[in-house]
Amino acid sequence: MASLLSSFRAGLRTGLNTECRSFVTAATQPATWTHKSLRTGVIARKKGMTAMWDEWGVRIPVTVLQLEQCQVVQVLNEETHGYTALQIGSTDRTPKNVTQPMLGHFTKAGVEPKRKLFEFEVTPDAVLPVGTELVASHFVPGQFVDCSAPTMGKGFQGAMKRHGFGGQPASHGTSLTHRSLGSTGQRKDPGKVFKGKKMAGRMGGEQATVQSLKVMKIDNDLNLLYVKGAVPGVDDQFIKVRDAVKKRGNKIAPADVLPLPFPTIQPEALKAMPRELVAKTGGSDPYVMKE
Amino acid sequence: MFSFTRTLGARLSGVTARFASTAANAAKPTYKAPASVTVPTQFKPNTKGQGLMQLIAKEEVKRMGADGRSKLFNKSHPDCLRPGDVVLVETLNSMSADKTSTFVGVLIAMDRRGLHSNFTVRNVVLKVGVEMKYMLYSPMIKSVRIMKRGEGFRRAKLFYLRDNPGRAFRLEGLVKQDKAAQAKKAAKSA
Repeated sequence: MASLLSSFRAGLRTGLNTECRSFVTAATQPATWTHKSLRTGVIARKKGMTAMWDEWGVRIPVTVLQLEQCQVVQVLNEETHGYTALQIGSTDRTPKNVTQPMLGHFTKAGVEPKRKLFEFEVTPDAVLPVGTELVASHFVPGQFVDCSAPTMGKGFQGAMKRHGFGGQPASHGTSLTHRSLGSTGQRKDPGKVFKGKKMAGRMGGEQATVQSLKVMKIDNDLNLLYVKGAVPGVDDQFIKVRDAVKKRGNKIAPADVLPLPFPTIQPEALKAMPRELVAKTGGSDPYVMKE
Repeated sequence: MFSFTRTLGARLSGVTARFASTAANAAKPTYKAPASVTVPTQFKPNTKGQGLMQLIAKEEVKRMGADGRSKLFNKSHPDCLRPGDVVLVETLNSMSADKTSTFVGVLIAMDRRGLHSNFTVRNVVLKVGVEMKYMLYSPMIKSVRIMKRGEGFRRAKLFYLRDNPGRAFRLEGLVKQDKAAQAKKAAKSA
């Protein structure tokens, strides 16, 4: 509910503050995609998981990701920074909870203070103006995306859970050592335990990327992405979502939804879209025996 | 659609008030869904008093339960399923053909989970106990008919019938009766 109202407010804000900076207008030439182009990713929040049925009646688990006031905060370029990237911010924050240095950073961009900032490396033709709001329709139904986030923390875990070690037998004389890691090295040579030896320790809370997740559904009103499968992290986690790196060129999405909106979705195209769009799984009916 | 595009339009029309009439007459851009995309029944989102996941689950239930199958799990409805009922479930073999499979049995479990609501039906087929678990809102389920109301079952889950079936799975007579009734109905309507 808050996010709905906030996105409305964000629209008002970008309209009032940044006259010519809100998004790629028809006046500026929309860049054309080449096979070397790299679009920006977005920051989404993991809202939970549910399931849906595809056109063949197969039940598909999906993760719901919501884009909350996802805006371009800074453009990093070759001359000043040495590489081309967009700094994207997600989820507004009350200014009283933001440090002075960060407040200055956001004021320079003309955006509301954001809770999370990530950089996405892009090619120069995919650069978006500061203040552009990224919406769910930046992706198309049926395309593949990569999702990165810190994994769920599992606390201090033993080697069997942490590294998949086999442990020792449950019976036949094994005393008090059923789940231990066993030997940690050789004898006098080398006479030490190598650095990086897999042992018990804190597990989880590290960055993980799940690749090539299919976008099953897009909701334009609530800015939702339904991706097939699971995504690392807890609910309300900030997830970096970008086009799949392992699906180059025409493999990124079905042929009839290509080309992907480049550098992002145009306002006119967005206005025309219905609220929800569902991707078809395609292929042949899996419940029909093939000859 | 609560998006920045609407406010831009409002802003532009405010600035260029002289062209308001032409802006109103301008053709509304249309979206034509490509072959690999389906546009489902659209609802207006109303997040008042509920979270995001509850909202989308409710909408999906409304969409998938448009044929009225929600009443099977609604305790206040007279047609609600109850554990112990003998039900006939007709499922499509695939979405591309009209062929169906039928399974008759005693309803031994109902799990109310919103969109993921499911029920388990048990029968003894050729001396082998068979349990089928069906997702209520699956598009593969064509129909669920109650053949006989259960009597004397005092539990929500009838898993004890696996060990103590009693006479619960003597359903051949019922199936015959039902078949005859169906044939009569077909003959009458024809």
